[in-house]
Amino acid sequence: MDAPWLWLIPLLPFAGALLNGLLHARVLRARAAAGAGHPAHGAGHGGHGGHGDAAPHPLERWAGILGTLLVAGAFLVAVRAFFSLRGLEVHERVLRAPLETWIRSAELDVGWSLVVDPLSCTLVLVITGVGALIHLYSTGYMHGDRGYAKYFAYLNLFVGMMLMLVLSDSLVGLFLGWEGVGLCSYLLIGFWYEDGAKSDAARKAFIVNRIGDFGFLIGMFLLFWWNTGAPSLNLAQINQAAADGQFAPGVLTLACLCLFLGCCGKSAQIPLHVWLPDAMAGPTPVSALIHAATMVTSGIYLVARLSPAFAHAPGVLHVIALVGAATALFSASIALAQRDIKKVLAYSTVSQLGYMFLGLGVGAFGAAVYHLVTHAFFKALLFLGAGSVIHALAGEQDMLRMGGLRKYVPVTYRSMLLGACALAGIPLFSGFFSKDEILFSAATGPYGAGNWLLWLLGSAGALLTAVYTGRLLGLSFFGPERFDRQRVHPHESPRSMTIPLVVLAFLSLAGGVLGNLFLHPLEEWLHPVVGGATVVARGEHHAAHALEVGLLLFAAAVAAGGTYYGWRRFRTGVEAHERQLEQPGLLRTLADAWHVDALYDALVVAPLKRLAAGAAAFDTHVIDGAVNLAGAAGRAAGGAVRRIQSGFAAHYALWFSLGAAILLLGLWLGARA
Amino acid sequence: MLAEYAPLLAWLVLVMAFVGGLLALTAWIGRARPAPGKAETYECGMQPMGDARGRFSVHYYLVAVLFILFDVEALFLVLWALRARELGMSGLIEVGLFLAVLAVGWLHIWRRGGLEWDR
Amino acid sequence: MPSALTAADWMLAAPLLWLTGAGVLILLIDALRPARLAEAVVALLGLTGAGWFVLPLLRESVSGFAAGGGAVPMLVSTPGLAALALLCLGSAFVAGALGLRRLVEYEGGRHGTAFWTLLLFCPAGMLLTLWSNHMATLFLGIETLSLPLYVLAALQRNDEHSVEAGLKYFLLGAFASGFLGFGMALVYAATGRMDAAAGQEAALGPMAAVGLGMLLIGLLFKAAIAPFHLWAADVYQGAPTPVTALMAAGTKAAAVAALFRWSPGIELLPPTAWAMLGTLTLVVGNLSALNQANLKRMLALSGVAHAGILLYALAANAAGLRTGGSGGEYADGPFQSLSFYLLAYGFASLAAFGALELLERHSGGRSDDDALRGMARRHPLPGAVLCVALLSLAGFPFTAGFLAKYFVFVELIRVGMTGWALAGILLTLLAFGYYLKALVNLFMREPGPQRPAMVPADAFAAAVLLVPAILSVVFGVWPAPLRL
Repeated sequence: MDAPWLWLIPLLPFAGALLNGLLHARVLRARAAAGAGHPAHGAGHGGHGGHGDAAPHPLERWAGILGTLLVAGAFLVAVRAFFSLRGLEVHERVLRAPLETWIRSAELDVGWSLVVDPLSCTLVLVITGVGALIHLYSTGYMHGDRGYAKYFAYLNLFVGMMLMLVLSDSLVGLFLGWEGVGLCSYLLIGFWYEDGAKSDAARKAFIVNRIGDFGFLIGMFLLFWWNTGAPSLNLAQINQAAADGQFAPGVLTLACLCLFLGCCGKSAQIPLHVWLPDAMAGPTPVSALIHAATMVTSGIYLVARLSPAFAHAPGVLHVIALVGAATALFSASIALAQRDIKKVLAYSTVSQLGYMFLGLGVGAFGAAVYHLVTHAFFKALLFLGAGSVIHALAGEQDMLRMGGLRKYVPVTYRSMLLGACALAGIPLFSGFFSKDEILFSAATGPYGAGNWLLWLLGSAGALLTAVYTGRLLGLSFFGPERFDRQRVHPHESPRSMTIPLVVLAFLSLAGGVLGNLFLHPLEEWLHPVVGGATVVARGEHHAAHALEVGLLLFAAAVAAGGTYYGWRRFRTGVEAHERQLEQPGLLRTLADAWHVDALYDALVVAPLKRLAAGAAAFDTHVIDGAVNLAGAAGRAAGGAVRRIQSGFAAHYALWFSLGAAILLLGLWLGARA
Repeated sequence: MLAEYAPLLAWLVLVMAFVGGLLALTAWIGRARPAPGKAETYECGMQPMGDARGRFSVHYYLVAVLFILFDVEALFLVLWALRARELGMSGLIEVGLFLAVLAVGWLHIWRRGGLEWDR
Repeated sequence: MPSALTAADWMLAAPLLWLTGAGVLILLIDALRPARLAEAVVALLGLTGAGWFVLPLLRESVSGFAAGGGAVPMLVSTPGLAALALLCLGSAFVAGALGLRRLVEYEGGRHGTAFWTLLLFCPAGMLLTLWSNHMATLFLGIETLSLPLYVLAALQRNDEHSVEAGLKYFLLGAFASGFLGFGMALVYAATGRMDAAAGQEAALGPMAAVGLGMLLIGLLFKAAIAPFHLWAADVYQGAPTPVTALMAAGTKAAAVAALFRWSPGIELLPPTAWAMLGTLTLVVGNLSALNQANLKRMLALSGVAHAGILLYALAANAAGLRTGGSGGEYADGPFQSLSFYLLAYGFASLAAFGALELLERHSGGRSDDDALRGMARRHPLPGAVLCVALLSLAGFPFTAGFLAKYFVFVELIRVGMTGWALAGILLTLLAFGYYLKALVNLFMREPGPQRPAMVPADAFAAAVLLVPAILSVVFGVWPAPLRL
């Protein structure tokens, strides 16, 4: 069905980005005129936005309102799209907003078209819904920041780009959005760019993502070039071509592996996971929106979107499953030993993304998307809650310097408690059902004995998840107050920040219960998009009901036990824990993230730097020399030519006549011959 | 073939004879009273010799250009007049438009003071 | 008997009548009830209205005014030519928007009427030239576009450079018009034909050949092809900058498109001749631009270089005709590449000269490197526009200028003239030298002392200026709509 109004969905946030950008320019001009030339943003500003050092410009208030309302508007349009889809027959649930051709060259034909089907509709609802809540939260969190309007311009741009990524009907459009969100991520991680560490983190994120993007591009080219049928970059046509066997098997596998490399970059999987923890340098709402709920899940979206193609490349699914499971366990272990509350959540995000890839890898595409949605709710909630805590403590992010906060920030505490339960996988919460679905799918997957390895890795990760979740709660909200009470007076955050918390807390809870009562339909809802691929990847399977119940009970026990242990252990005795973190040992290794960054430095960064130095020398001496020589020669010749340009009209006429004489003589002789 | 041009030749001879005769006649019956003023090239007070970059009023050019403009207009009108009946009403309208456009130009020049000599 | 005008005739005549009618109306307003604002409004509406009448011509080819009821139409429009016609009208509009403040309010508004009237007559001549299919319309078009430009170039009577520009342009232009007219007479005498296809007859005698050559020289002069280009630097530099913008974008488009349509058959001028002429122009233009210390003059000379690249499209066309490519799959290729190039160059020139005009208002009217040092930093909007324009002119990827060059060289390679294409590409690299030098001067140097602005802030001109700059980028990533 044609639905041109779909363009409103990305255009509203884009309009917001434009307007806020103009508004920021206006504010800057006003500030320059007022001579408020503070050279830099307050260095002690830390990772929170609460206390700016410039009086807010009266216009700036509108930046937040505008940004939030436009994203909320996009959400309403998305809701309309949802109901339009619901009104259609199950297998005709596709809305299209076609537009002009963008690039046409020989066989390449790329258009600007948007497509909404159940999969993209789900994602759009999450992006705009959670996005609007986080915008609302940001109006409080970023209040008084010097770059207030700029922040909303970036954030709106991000939402628009993310929507383009999800809505585009071709790999090219998807890639455009993919790069766009990468850019916004870079801009927002380095939002407080005067702090060198933060801008380094932004660059790290960008560069690591480039490695993945390289894979994405190669995969895209392979899919186009080695399509023996009618080559196309249209997503639906690629899926169709894969199903019709238009790719040689090796090519499809290679292309999908390359695309998965892109996913590893964007979704922070081993070995490209290193950027995401550092990305926490950005404002906390950014971490919630970009680095937990939406952008980092684009890898999952890409695989789900191309699930028919991936299903026909079986070797790739093995790899995805293994990488996912390994990442899940690996980063959960790192999260155990982090002191920074945001770092815990960051590694937790990496780990949860690993579960999603595990789900994709065992062919349970629907379950993976289900976990994507619930994770978006509870992880956004946890980040926003962490932001609220940080806000309350005036910038403190170290959990060992918190403690006993639950009586100061009751709303934050209660909503974070619900979010933590969902993360740990406590029964009846959303995370429990979606994670269990993935683990169950892994146990009954298509890999024979390998199934149990995957399940074991996943379950071990789940245990660690429960423990670090309990630890997070215990360290920050329970036990003795370890912050400096002379300096810090914890207080609950303003209404604009707590409302999103409450809404997300409700969703984290309801996403599970409702999910199982009504939304099991989510898988049914996604069935037209990923169902076929699931059958191809897993075959028609009928698992024993007893096994399902058994695994369910086991998972519940693991989650409850782990959380209780974590809470119990870290509620008190924090000093001993701190010593363990500082002395060499297992915990120290975990705290240093298994030294992966150091390894990369030694293996990749240092040799590259040497290579770059050599290239620079070659450039300065050989290339620049040649260029300078050419330039000097050109200038000398120019001097000679310039002499003709004497300025006398008579001389011009002379040259004119000379040229005319030669031309006419040639013509005359030519015609006589 | 060449006979066609015979009248032209006759006309040429006549013109030369007329001019030559006239010059001879004045030299014969006229009296010569030479004076410095009469020896000048232009007998209107304009100096024929002097600096080539001497200035004179730009109005000369303006008037000359306007003269040419309306001169050509007259030429065009003659052509139209020769075929006026055959061109009929549409021809009349077209030539009227042509004149109207010129008239607007003329009006503009007039109102802007282009026709005033000493301004 | 004069036959009634057909619908096609009216389609072609409407924009011309609209332009000239508006021009006459302005004269009348000035004569009867002088009102500066009314004149400006009438002029800009006249240009907009003419553009409105050109729009339907974008969809179909139209030929009109068949001479004496004969088979040869005097005016022919194709979608590509109509797009160029819109460019001519647009450049007049931009010139008007830029001149509004500068020429009308500055110097006491004495030149307003002349400016507006000529700004309407000039594009009328451009349209005639573009569409001309008959020597009468070609001559009429060339003269109608030239005469107003002579006057417009000399509009600032207090500025000796402006007067010099007008006089030089007039003298040399009259010289070239002599060639044009005499060439037409010779062609007519030799072949008895006055239509554009006269030169494509198989066997042309020496007289017709020389006649066609003279006709072409007239057009080569207008298009500023070496060695007939020497006027360009002095005239572009001396003329008021809004007028320069009109000349660069509009005149170039009209003259080069006419050159393409009137270029004689391959018997007479082989592809190599065009390629040689193009390379000569490219070399001369680029080398002269390389050492310029004046941005306006540099842009003028770089415009010469661009005309050289355009001749490559003519070479490709001639080669295509030789291999019997008429009616083939890519028969329209050379003209498509030519018109895209002219449009891309036109947008970039309008943006460049327009931004320069806005900067000049803060530099005491000077456009030399010293006066413009760091100006883009002080005035970010014109600076950004100028930056986009210079990058597009240089042929930086993601600008229309890049694709324009790409399309032309693709055509050249397609007909097997790879060597010439390679030479051309290498020569265009030279252009980066002076465009980037200008950008460095504008952006990376410390600005000099602030001068008082000559004209109050001009939001209208700035807004109009954004259009060609944005188009330069849009068509750099999305060229499909302009491949007419």
